[in-house]
Amino acid sequence: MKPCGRLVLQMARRMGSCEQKVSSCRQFSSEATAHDNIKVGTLCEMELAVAKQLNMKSHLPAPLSKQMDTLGEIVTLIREPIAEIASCMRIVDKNLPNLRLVLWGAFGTGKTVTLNQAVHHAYTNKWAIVHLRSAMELTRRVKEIEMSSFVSGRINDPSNAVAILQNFKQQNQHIWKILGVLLTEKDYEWSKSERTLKGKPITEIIEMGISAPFLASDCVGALFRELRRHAKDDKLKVLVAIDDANSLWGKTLVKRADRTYAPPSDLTLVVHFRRMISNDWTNGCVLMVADKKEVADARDELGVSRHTPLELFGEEGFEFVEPFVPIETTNYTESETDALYNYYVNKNWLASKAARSEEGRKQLMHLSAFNPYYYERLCAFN
Amino acid sequence: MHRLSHIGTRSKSTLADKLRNAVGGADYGKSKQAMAAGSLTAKDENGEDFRELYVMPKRKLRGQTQLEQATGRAEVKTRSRFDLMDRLAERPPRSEEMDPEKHTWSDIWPAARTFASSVVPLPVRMGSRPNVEKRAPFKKEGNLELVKIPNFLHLTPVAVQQHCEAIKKFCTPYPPELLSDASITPSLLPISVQYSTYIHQGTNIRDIRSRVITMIVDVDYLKLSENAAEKLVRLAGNRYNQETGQLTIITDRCHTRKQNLDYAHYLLTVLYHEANKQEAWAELKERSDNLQVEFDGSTTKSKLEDLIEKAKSSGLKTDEKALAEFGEMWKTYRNTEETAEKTREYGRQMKKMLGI
Repeated sequence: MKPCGRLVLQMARRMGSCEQKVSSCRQFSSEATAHDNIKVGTLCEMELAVAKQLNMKSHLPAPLSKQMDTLGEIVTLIREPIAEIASCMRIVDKNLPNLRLVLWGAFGTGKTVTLNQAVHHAYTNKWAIVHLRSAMELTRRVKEIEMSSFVSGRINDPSNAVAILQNFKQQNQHIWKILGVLLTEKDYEWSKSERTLKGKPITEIIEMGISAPFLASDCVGALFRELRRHAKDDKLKVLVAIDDANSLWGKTLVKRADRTYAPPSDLTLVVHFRRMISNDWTNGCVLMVADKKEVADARDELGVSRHTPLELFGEEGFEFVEPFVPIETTNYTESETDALYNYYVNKNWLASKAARSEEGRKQLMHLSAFNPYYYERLCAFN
Repeated sequence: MHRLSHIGTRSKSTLADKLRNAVGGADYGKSKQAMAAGSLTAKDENGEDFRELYVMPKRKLRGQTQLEQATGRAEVKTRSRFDLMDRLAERPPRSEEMDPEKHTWSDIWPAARTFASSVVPLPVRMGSRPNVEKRAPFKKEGNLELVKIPNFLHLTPVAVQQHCEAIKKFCTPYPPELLSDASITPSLLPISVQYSTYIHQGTNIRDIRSRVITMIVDVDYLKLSENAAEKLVRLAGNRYNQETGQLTIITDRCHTRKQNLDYAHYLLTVLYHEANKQEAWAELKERSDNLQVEFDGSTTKSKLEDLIEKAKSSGLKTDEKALAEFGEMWKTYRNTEETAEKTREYGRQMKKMLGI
């Protein structure tokens, strides 16, 4: 689909088949002026080390992460949506309630990749990143549950909570020292024996959660609360990136004791993430992806679900998420496909002679119907 | 039975008499006749009457008749039919006695009746034949198939014309206002009733679907108050079409069309009167009970107002007047079918309002 990564490259089209310079650069800095912005339609590479830190391998869509392994680099196309997100992130201010953006679009148009590009952008601008790979994991891929001792009726998910904390730790290594300076505002009594005292760095909460899975869900909640507090105090800016965010109001596969499915509002992690989305805190940006996975039914051969936000979030979710700025991801334009095509040709990714011809270029474009996912798949097989 | 008089052969004379008659005169046989008759003069020696001697039968002998037959001079006796008088007593079919000058078809066949082959003057045939070229379908006399099917012989154009002429004096002309401008029909005639009639060729001419009645009413013309109109919409359920504002009542629960029509009228009346009733519990209606989501009073509006204020204070070029426009767009977005284009419009207006 989309190669991932960020490097400034010249428009490959002009240079024809000559090799592209690979040099890392920081794009979309928070105080960037117009001319600093990378032009929409160019390819950008992400450094592998950065990608590793940001755990891109698991967060990117599968075809792309496999391509990352094969080609040894992550190169993505900069398109309209990420430019919009970057401009929105520039507006984030300590007085402004958190800006909510919802990425929506048809299948295979680049929602997840844009989200990851935004995460990288946040990284380069030293924001704190709360990145959730997929909210569906919280609602539908719950391996084991525990009833919460903190609030009765809530259901904890130790394995997912630990994963979230570990992911947070890994992704925020670039600001770990800053996080180490931020202090907790109150005593946290996790259980009778474990507690975190007031005035301790919040990194302790993370460590506590990772070491004790049965406390992890509560630690996640505490961590998020501290992040919100410190963002309000303008200590740091926070990007909350949730893929498949509409699943937070969707279907659950968690069974309660009476063999009924628990609603998502009964799951602690879902509640914590919903609090991160709600706009009672400032100095942050919440980037959500509305994905059809939640409502699409594989057994329904005739129905086609919509991919628009109201349909996917549902009434309750929509009213919670409002007011937000919807950002649409669309199919490629011809120039975008050209840029990608030239990249693939240079990388010798397009193997067959037919694919490398002019005729092949046009065919690939049209066969995929300009859909980024199918374009990548076609190029992989030709 | 009538017997034609014929001359019996037994009264004919013998061959010898004939010859004698042929040779002799008229009175030749008188003496003989006298003797044969047994007169007083003709007595024998003993004084007894003369007894005629039977020598030859008084008929044509077999040989003679055979000769006559062979030569072709035999008298052919025409025997009449045994049922001849019965046949003569029967009249020919009526269709043969019809004269277009003297009779009118609508007098002969005034109403629908089963096919009567003797009355219908048409040489109509009906029947399935394996090879139509060789043998024609069966004729109408005694043809049950012609009897079984429905015929429309009572509906000749002339008959129809006569019916129309008879009814015309009870009719009024079609309203010229409706003829000139068909679009004002709903305002003058707000209720439209639709039903279908089905014609079948077969053993059963009936169709159960002909009792279905569809009644379409334009709700605006009921002139209900706002609350009553909303109540009507709720009562009607999916019979009410929001886009066209029409209430459609389809009934087929009664056996006949007339009954279904009456039922449809009854339903409309009940809906109207129930809609006009205001119940005490209707006061308990909340925002979540509304049929449509309103922008005013929604959490979105309050959050937006808050956001716009804060955005202004942090330096964005917000547009407050755009909030009303946004509210309109939001209401359409929430209450009608969501499309990609509507979502894009939502995005555009949001960005404009917040000054992004």
